[in-house]
Amino acid sequence: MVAAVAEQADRVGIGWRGPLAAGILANLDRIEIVEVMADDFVDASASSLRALRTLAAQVPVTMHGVSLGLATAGMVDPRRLERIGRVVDRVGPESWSEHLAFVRAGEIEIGHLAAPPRTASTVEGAALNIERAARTVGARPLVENIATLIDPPASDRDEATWVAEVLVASDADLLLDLHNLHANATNFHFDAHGFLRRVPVDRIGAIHLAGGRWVTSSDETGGERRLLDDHLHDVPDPVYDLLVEVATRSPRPLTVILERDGRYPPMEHLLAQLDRARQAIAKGRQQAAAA
Amino acid sequence: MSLRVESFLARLYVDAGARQRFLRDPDVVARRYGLSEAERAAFVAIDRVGLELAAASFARKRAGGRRRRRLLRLIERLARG
Repeated sequence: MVAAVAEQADRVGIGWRGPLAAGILANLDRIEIVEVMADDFVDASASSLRALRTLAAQVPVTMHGVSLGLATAGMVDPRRLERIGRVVDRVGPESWSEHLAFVRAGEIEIGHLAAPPRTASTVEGAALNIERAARTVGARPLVENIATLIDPPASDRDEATWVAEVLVASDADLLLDLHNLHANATNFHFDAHGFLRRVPVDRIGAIHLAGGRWVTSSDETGGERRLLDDHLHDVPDPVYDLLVEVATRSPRPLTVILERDGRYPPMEHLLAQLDRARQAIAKGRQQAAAA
Repeated sequence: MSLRVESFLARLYVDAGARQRFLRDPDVVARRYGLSEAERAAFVAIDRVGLELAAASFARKRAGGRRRRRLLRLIERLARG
């Protein structure tokens, strides 16, 4: 089951990855929360789950899923939900989260997070699936906005409208990925700060930070550049600027997680990014106090 | 918006042959898939840059996912002794 936690202060932490494990454990005085990939543990042995539970006894742990595909007009796979529910039950994180994405259609596995058409059908489908997830796992997931390289076809509303509608329909809180927002705003030419003013700021329960790189299409499609969210690079400056704005406007304590999935730099380099996130939050809180 | 739209989009992401046929004649291919007139119009106007880049990104992720799952299975076997 999900552990009951009283949110009292802003916290900054990092995603748990095997190559970072030693660095994380050696620096728990500078890491206030750890996010664990739930999907990595659905087939884990009892000893691996015990180790994770031991970790959760030392530092607050939240779990994050990538494979459910909640944002679909169809029904989430109940077997996958049950497997995530078993992991959550055995580890006892303080919360869990999933993406507002579809990842499969029938027998077709896309292999990653795809943006669904932004329509009333996917708002309704996402809300129903979030409710199913809440019933099976025993706690409502936070839901994360995703990065997309393609403007999803057959959409009849923009991303901010769609995300806000899902939050209202599902009663879920938002895991706001600021690099996903930055990448989408860059690629599809909208104002990321305007997006923040259009989603309910009091529903932001957690924040993701990450980095990315440019990718270029072929000559056939004009050699256009788009920003890919790859979790392999440092957090860029505009993402910290967005964090300042969230901290200025959010009435709730913020839980901020740095996501890094490879090309690992020295731990001190990642810890410096956590410190910079703390500085951004402090700046936002000071601006709020002065207003 | 029907589940058929999601299914068609997923097919375009993972099947390079289907994607090429679609890009040559989107309306005909979308019609064969059973999409409505409004849905077909949306796919005719698809973001072609995004389709190409997203499909390439998903292909890399599928390959990386297979490697990751093999590694996790190996770690679990080692943990079990």
